[in-house]
Amino acid sequence: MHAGAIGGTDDPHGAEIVGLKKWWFARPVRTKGLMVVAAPILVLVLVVGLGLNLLAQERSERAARIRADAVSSSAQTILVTALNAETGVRGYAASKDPDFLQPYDRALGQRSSQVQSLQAAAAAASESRQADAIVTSLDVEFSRLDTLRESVSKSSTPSAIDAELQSGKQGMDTLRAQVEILTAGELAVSASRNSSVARLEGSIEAVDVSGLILALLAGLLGILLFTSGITRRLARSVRNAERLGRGERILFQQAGGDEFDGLDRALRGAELQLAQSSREISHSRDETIEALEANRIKNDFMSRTSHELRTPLNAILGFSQLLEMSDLSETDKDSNEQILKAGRHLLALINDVLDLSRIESKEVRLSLEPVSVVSIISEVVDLMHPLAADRGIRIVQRCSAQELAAVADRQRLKQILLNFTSNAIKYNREDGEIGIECHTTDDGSVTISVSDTGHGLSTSDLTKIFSPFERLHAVQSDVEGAGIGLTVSAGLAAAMSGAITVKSKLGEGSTFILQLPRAPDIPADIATPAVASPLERAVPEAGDAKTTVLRVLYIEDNAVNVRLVEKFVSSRPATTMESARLGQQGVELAREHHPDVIFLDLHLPDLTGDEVFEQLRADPRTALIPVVMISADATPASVTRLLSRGVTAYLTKPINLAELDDLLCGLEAALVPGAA
Amino acid sequence: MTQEVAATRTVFVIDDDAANLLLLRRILSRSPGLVVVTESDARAGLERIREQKPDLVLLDLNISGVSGETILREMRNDTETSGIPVVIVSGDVNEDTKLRLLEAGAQRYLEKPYTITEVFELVETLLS
Repeated sequence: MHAGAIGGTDDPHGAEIVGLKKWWFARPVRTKGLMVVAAPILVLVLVVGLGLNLLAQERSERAARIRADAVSSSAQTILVTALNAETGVRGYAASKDPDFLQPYDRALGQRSSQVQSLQAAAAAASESRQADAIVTSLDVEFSRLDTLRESVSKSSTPSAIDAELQSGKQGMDTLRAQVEILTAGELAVSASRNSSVARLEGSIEAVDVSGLILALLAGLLGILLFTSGITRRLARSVRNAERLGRGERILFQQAGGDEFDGLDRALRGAELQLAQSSREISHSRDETIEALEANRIKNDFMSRTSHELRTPLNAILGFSQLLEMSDLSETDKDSNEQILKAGRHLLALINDVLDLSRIESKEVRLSLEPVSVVSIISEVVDLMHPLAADRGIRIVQRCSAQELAAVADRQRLKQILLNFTSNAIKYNREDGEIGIECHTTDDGSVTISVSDTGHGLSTSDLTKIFSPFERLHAVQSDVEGAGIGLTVSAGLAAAMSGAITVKSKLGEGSTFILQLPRAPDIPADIATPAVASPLERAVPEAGDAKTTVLRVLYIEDNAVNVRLVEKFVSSRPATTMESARLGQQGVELAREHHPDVIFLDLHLPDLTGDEVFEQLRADPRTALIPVVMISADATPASVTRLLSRGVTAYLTKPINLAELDDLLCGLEAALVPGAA
Repeated sequence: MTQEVAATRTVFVIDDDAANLLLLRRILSRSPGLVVVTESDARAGLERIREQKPDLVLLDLNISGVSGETILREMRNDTETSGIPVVIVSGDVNEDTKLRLLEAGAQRYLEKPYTITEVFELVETLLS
């Protein structure tokens, strides 16, 4: 994570987005799309509207021009008709030939329709007035011509006819002048309208072309803006998502309000969530490291404390033992005995406190294996018998199942039973009885119960007895003990997947019951425990092995398993065994001593069983030694794999002694020359 | 003791705790045929072991200054002393510690507090 590039408010893009742009960013993408499509359409609509308007103007101008032309044309027609009529009448006056009256008669027939045409064309007020004047003049002219024709037909005086002709000429001039004025005016109008039409036609063309270009540009611009905005911001979101994937800070776009902004916000949310999770993980990792460190420190402290307490106690007990061996007066002997007793009590207390501490920090080391229940009980009885005898208490064993075995740590199981039994002695009445029984239960467990004939426990007592330093009714009595033993026992039982329960009746006594997982039965003849401490090194057998003696090397870090096999092997005169706790050590021993068979545990502190096997096979000195793998995790796949790689046999833990027996018998027989 | 150690054997004890050193001297002195040499300084003790080549070394683990473990490892790395059996004496009953020292080449690990019988049996076994 880059701490510097954090935060939406620091986003450089944020400052740029102002006003319209900000408004634009806030629109949803759908609105943006609509707007981008609508803009060019709107431009087109405006342009078309403007064009139609111009077109209407042009039409109106064109119509006005046509009307003006019609007015002037009608007026001219009327004038021509009038002239023709007059010319006809004048010819009649001069010749008295009625044929000359034909134009006049034609004119009379055309007059009303021509007047109607003029009046219809002259729509405007000024035109109408001029047209009315022309019609009036025309009427005057025709009435005069009619008078003249009458005069000629009645053979009036030539002077009178001349006078009529003269006045007719004047009337005709007036009419001509009026028609000319009207025509001139209409021509001007027509010319003006004509130029307007031409101008409008140009405008329409310009609007059409520019409008098309404008709409096209608007469309292109909108599409460009829309797509570039979308692709750019989509690309940014993709980059953000990629940065998120790499665990980097994302570049958050603060402004906006559309879907892309929503996407960025969602990514930002995811980033914050990730950062939070990451912090939590880191924190919890720190805590784990701290816890491990604290555990190490505690372990070191425990080791040191143990040493510091035991060293002076060693001197106290040691010198006290030396004094015991020397000649002392009875009083001094008694004093010395008190020192020894208190010292041993102190040692038990130290052991219990250290155990309790280990139990509480879940640091109890256990070697779980099948343990013969009867043999453990016998050991406990042997150890506790003198103490019980001092108080006249009998210990009665009631275990019928000789081969019964529990999955337990031998030492810890013994410790629990010693605690039960010593309590049963302490809290018993004089000359009482202690009964030790063992059973199997339906759910595959083993129970070992120790009952006494003491005071018994009240209900309130029962709730207290597993609390540290709770010593019931022991305050006044001379009962020894730290009051911590049951707490430790309960913790140890739980660590071995077992449990302790208590049954008691006031005045009758109490029964403490330990429940443990059951193991396959152990043959009684090998159930007797080994005396040696589990951590004493197995000293290699001295003397040269005879050819008929099977020499076994057992590479195993679990001392208990080593002891079990050792015990089993020791009962066979034809087999000897040595052991190694580390893989490397085992390989070296194999090279030096060249055993007849190697038993190999799969899980060693320094190397895996596979690695040890590889090393053995790689060295010509050890390559041909048969190897028997011993492990608890015997999946069919792992067995097949090992056997295919040249492992001679595979034994599972807990070790089935019958299987081991078969195996050793076979190997022993193979050693005897000619026996195989 | 069912069997006396025939010839004179030298047992070298290193412990910086005066009481415990004296205790071991007193215990071992009860066995005839044993010569007990004690040293409270680890470094000096190692020098003397190299000179005297005792038959057995009882080595306290938590010695101030140089630890018993260092002494043991130095002894095992020196061909002149690598064959001398060493018993680690300690009040540290941690299984890891025990295993580590045994792997480093100690013959036995004697837990404090020990009984006089334990010491006798141990010495007898290792010197026979």
